[in-house]
Amino acid sequence: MDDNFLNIEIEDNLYSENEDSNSTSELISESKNIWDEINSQFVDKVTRLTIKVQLDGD
Amino acid sequence: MAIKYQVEILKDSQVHQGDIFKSLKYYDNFIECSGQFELSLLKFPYSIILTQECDLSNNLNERGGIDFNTKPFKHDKFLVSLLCAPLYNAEHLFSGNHLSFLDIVSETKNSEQRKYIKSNREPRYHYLEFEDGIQLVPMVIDFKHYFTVSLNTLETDISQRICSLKPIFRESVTQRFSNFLSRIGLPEPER
Repeated sequence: MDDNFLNIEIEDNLYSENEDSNSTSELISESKNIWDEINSQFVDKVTRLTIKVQLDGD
Repeated sequence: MAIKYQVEILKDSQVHQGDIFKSLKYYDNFIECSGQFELSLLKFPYSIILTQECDLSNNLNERGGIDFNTKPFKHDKFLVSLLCAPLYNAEHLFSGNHLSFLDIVSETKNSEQRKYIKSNREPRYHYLEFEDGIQLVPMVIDFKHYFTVSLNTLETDISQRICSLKPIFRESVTQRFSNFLSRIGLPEPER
């Protein structure tokens, strides 16, 4: 693995992280609700995923 | 009444014509700018393999006899990638919202168009209803949205194969796909 690959961010247009929540359990619960909703309604639709890799240094 | 397509659950490691995979990814774009790499993928919930069975089996058979330690090795049946096409939820496609997560809206199909698609008279689409016991809703293959995935990727993700169309059924799909590709668009008269 190349040490230059320090930051790997995966953006999924189906999921948005709630940065205001301080509670881990709330976050887990919220994300579960999001995915439950997705699975119940939209699980069989095409999605776009974007993977960003930030090179650091030289 | 629509034909019920017969499927089989294969346990082998070969990719077959008519295999239906879930969650196949198509690498859409890759850019590098100011030290940041960005890879964009399309993730298709269900896709069908359209590459012909003889090409796939010949490839596998040939690889079985290759000594990869001896270079260069002979590999006449080498395949760069396999042809695939997405299977869309029929109701989503009829409603024109099957690509809504890509911010793409399609035409809503009226009852006459739906009837045409369901009876496989529209060259672009292939309508599939599966035999009882298969947990798949009616689907539509959109031949215009064909894409490719490397053989290596498919073999690595063979566990993502959920079922395979049985012979004759798979050939009926690929024959219609080849017919779709062989259309000749004639220029329209200038107005």
